[in-house]
Amino acid sequence: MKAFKAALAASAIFVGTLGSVGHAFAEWPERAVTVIVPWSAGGGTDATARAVAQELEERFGQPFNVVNRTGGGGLVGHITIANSGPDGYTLGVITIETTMFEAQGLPGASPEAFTLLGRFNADAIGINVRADAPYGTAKELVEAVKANPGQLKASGANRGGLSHLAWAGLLNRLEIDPQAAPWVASDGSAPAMQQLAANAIEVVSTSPAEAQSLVDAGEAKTLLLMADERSALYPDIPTVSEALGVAWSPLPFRGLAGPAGLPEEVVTKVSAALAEITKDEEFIALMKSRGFSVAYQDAETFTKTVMRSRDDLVSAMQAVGLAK
Amino acid sequence: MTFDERILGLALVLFGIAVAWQSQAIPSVPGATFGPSLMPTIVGLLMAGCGLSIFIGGVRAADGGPLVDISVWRGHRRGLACAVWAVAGVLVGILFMPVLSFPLFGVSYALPLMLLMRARPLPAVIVSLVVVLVAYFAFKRLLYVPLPSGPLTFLG
Amino acid sequence: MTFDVLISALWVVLQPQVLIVVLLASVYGLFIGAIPGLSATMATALLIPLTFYMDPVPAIAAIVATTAMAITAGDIPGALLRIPGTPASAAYVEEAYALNMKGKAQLAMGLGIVFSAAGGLFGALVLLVSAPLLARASLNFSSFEFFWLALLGLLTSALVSTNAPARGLFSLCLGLLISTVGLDVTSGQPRFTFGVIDLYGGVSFIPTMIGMFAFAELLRGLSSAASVPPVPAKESVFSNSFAGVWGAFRRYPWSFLRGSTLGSSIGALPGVGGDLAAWIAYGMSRRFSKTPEKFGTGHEEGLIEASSSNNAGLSSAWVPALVFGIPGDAVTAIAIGVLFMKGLNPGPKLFVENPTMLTAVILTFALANLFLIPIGFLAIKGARYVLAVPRGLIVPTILVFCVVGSFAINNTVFDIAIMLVAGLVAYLMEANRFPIAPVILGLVLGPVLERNFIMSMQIADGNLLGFFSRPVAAGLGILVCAIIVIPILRSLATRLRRPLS
Repeated sequence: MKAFKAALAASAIFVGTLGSVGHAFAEWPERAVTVIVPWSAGGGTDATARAVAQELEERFGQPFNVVNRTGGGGLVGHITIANSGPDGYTLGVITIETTMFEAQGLPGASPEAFTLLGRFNADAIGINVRADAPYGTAKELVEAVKANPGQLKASGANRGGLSHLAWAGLLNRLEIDPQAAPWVASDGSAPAMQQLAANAIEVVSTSPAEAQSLVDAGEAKTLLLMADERSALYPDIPTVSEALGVAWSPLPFRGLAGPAGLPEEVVTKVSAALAEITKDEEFIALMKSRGFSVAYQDAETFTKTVMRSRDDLVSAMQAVGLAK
Repeated sequence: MTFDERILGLALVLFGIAVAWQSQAIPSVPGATFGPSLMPTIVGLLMAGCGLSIFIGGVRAADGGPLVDISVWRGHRRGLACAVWAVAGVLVGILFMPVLSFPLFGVSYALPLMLLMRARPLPAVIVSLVVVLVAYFAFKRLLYVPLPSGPLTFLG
Repeated sequence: MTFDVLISALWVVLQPQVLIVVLLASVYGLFIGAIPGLSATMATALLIPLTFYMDPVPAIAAIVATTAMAITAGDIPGALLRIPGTPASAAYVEEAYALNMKGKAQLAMGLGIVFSAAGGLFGALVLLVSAPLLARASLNFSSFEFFWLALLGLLTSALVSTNAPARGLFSLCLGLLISTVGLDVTSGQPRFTFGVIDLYGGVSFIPTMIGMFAFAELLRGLSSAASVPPVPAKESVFSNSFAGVWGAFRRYPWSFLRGSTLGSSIGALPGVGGDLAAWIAYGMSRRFSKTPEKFGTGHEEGLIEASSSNNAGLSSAWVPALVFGIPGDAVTAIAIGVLFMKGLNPGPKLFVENPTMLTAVILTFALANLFLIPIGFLAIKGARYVLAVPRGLIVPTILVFCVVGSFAINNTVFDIAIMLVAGLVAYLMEANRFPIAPVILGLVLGPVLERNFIMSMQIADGNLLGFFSRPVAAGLGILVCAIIVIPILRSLATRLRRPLS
């Protein structure tokens, strides 16, 4: 008992010595900020997020720690961002999947759950095959799919993710049953490219930037870009309409966001910083060296883009049977 | 706390079956042939199998010992009090640390436990204060871990 | 690579600036690694702002030295307090702690540090000689091979706990079950979350490990079943922290070679390598040992093999990152970002365009591992005093660090709750003779096993024969099946020979 009393006394003294000092509101950010990335380390979202986080760190003088919260085709990370406290110390990178979750029957991560801060990148998806594949053009690949239904396997992300929708939607535009080249669910583009290099699957639908290092290594080639016009970074890759004569351009985006209800101060500061970063020569050069475009939109325009993408994609998802 | 093999085995069989049963409720995605319920089902059944094997072993070797053996704690009052404090304190920390602040929680958790474990009072007071404050500043200042500071706003 | 490239690379590395950076980074890594619950990833992430102001080689050297030291230093609380630093070191934490219990804490830590350094040097050498080759080989691994490797890793735990197979298997299954909690990766469906949002991202490793090993051990220490590590005898400041290490090496040279080779080859596989190597090495060591019965009682052999493979794998984890820009884990992902910032774009071109820089980067691995030894020596000297502190002071202190460490991973009190539950469950399991290490193994390998199984089944259209259709997969598959079937056949044979006994 003696021990207990001594303990109580000690605790009381400790509490007693603590005076309360008035709380002075410091300017955001006064400590480290966590940046949640819903996709695996090494993918395009991760790479661009790390580049942006480094720039933010230089501008605000506080660490911006990138944390990969993967799983559920980006859902885990998106929900984590949406559910974090709106104090400005947890931000995240959201991707186009946010517009698709609800239609798949997965609530909690729709665009309304976020405060959108601005877009920094939008790269069209490409179709990649092994370098030694027997098809040299997109047309030959499509012929091969038609000739061997069910044989060629494609991957790039989870089932129902944008990569999947892009591939299934392309086949749908060409009036081929999407099941003719079935989808293999993976954790992101990096594991899918590994599968492609190991000769376990035949097609990876992902942005050319994410395939670049394997293309450089002579392991893979990009046949097609799902965009309306050729990319300035990859002028040699033909567009869908050039190669196949149909129009299909599901354009993904990568943007900064926080949970809904972020303080005005944070929104203004981060948006302004992002606008500055995307004009920074060094940043543009870094993004370009890795094959990523810089495509800035301010919070308002970004919000409009997100809402329009949602309308387009949900109808496309219904067409290929991916929406409930 | 040690259980009789038969009780243990039976409990594990029930647990395994419950897991496998619950797994059936996990919805699968349209178009996917091998759903998310496959692995938990296999794991649940394997667990039930292990439980069965332990149960059978227990029936064979039944020696009439107690069904639940708590002898390691009997006659060991002070140890039990320490263990209860250790567990309950963490529970309090989970519930109240955001309000209470980490330094207050840390000291009021560690110091009584030290005294209960027969540490001398003066070293206990010094060590608990130093440990908690060093941990607080090291994590907060150097490692940017936002440990709650609650009412102790002057600590920053 | 030519000789003059090596010389000019050495010239780049042996600059005072690089040496000082490596020294400081090692000390920093030591402190982070020795605090339970803080990871090498966290240490690296915090380092990034500093690397802005450095040249490319010191910047990478800082990352490498921090990671190597943080991971190795994690073995110190592992040996002293039974708190493993990484999922990989959970493979041999029991062994190191058992040595400590025999009063040989210093030997346990000395073995950990020296063989980590030696394994790391071996890995750096492999990286230097065969990086492009190893990278090409690792690209041949698809989900089929990854599935078999994960299964092989799981089987090693069966090898490790042969005296109570049903209990070992149950522990493993519990780990696998915990790994399924959260949103399923391939379908996005929640599993066993019971509507708790914090569980959507799954149960975190580190709090679970802290709870299962440290918290449970402390609870047991309060009961009359307590066993307390003996206080080491007083000795002079100049005594050798590494006494007995050389003898252990002379007794078990093959363990070192096998562990390092295994670590460098498995470590090169993106995503799984690092966590898996130590487990397979430990299991293999027991299988090939002349005295398998000594394992788990504080035996040097498994410790040597597992810690050398751990650090060897650390170096070769950079192979796919440097050659193909495919990072295996968060640390290499951060490092790739730094390389790009410094204009050293990873990829096959780097080997042709800038071999000196690349060689210099690889040499920093060797350098970082060399620095492990003197700094580790001092760390062991200091660590002795931990055991000399009265239990009444040390136990509450560790408990406070269990709480902070669990909180620090995701900055949430929810992880403290995970630590507490894991601790109580592990206490009950140990009191009923269930092993704990397989739970951690299941937790680590569960997602790898499941994802690659589902992917493979989709590729093979549900045909199980698909798992044997690729040469490497078939080889691994036959190995796994043999490991399962042979002991069963053997026990059947002995039973048939003595039908009436």
